[in-house]
Amino acid sequence: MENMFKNISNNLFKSLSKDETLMLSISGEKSHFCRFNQSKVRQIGEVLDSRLSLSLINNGRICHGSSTLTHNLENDLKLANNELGRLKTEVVQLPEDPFLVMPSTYDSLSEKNYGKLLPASNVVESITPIIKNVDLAGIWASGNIFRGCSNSMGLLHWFETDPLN
Amino acid sequence: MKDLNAILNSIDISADWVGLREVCENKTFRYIRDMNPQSNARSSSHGVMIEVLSNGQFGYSATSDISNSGINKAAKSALENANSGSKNNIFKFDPSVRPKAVGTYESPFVKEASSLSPGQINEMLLKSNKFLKSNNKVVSASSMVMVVESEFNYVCTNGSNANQKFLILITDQSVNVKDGDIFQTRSMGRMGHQMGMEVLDEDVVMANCEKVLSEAIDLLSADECPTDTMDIVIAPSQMVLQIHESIGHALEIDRILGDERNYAGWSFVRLEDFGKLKYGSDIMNITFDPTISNEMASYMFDDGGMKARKEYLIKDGVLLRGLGGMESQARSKTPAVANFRASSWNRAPIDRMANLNLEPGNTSFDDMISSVERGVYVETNRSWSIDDYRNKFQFGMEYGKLIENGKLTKTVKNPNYRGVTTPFWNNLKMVGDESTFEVFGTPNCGKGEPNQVIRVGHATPTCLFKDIEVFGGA
Repeated sequence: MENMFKNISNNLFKSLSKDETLMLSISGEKSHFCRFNQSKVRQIGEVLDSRLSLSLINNGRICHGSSTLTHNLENDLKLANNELGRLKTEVVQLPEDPFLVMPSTYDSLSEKNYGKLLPASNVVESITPIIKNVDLAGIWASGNIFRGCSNSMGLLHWFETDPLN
Repeated sequence: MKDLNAILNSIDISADWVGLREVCENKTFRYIRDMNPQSNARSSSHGVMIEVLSNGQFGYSATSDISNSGINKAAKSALENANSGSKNNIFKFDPSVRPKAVGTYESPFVKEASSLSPGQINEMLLKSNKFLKSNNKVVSASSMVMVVESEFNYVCTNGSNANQKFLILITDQSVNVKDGDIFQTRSMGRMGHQMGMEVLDEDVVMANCEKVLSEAIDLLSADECPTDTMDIVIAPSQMVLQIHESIGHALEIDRILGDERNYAGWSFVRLEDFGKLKYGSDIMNITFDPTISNEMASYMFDDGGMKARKEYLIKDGVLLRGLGGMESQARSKTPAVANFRASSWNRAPIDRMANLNLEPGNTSFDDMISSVERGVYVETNRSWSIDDYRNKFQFGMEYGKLIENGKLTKTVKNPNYRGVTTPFWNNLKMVGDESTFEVFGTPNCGKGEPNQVIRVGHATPTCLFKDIEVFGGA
């Protein structure tokens, strides 16, 4: 996803006019959850989800948009460009924001913390013996989550980790 | 939207039942505070939840990769989850908890979402905000609108084929006012409806602004609400929260079964209470009603395919049924309603409130007030607190008026009241007639793990409760 985000960022920044500044962020997960009640499985599932957020500034005006991503670069470039087009049409209609803070930093950071998570297929078998003699209500959640941000001034940050709860 | 039936037919797994629920939602939030734009933002969400039943367990897999291959891959994951979960499942379900749902629903509206441009909406918000700021005691004024456009498609291997579309508007105008060390807030309560852009009718918006501003200024010179046990007449704008917190959440069957104990809480209601518990006075009638036009959570089917029908949860004060979809009905062996709902495609459905209403009675507002020798009339929730079991509560409101010898007299500030759920509802002495009945909805009811925030509706008349602990001072 980091490469996809870089691709989308570069593509969108190329289409800006000189009056426009664009800030992007991306967040997502590929996670597994298992809800327990009375130490038994109530619901179990997975979520594959990611979202691209855009903030477009033009002449002291700002508007925001976001869209779910499909994880296919061609589709997602189309979605992102459509959303940017919508923002370009809207931003010129809006009142000025006197408290607008223009982006000013343009450094880069990438941090990735991969872990050795319990495979989804092993979660119930692994946890059940430990909880069978108590009355447990709760949730097991684990998986990969990521966050990224970029702007048309050159900033690019990426953070990715494999947590569990 | 996708051709879900074609995709369903392409899924090649061995399961007892498979369902696909596609949700596409655009949510636009526009907000002006103190004449400056705070938000012009639209978020779009589109994905599919695949549910598979195998060995008595439902497995879920939500995906934003809505290609054929993406959904097929998710179906395989959902099956793996179902088989894995079935090794220690709390209940062995069968496909009967996912009834066949065929039909369409479209929420009523006059003006579609695109009938006003972003520029026009901002102009309207600026105009209302300028009016709200027109008094020098106003320290902050807010004008907002949220527009939600949602479409749900649902197909499954038992032949379900349902499409539901919703257009929902949520608006508010509010002010914070200050005089010396006195600080007050007045608003329209941030309520929503299944309606279109006709909600932003300028005359209606400006009338709301006039009410909000004049009452806010009034509050600055008002006396503190008295502290005593007395009668309280509660307007619909506060009844909404009373119903939501002390009835709605208490009757969610998954909560009664303990699913939410570590998060959203439990309930004082037990399964054996259904059919027996005297929840409130004889004039208390609570319904689950998906049929009220313009109410926020009206729909045709819940997210498990159950057809939504109006049902009495409490009739003549007696608790009859809970808020639980087909899964909870099977687990608890109690009758319930079609309220198995998910906030979006990326969450599994759970028992949620939808439209939960207090049925109107026979008393006019004037008769209600004239029956009170000493009491207080209150409007618009400001704060709420209720225990884990939905028993002991305390609410604060924005605005009050004393009732003295059958008449509304002085404005009072910081009105609050407290109580315990069933004694409180058994002190319900008068229920307003149709002329006092208002339809409201709140967009922010939170519950579930992973967390889900969902929209609910509450329609209610004005009500009189006797001998309630009322107190002032914020």
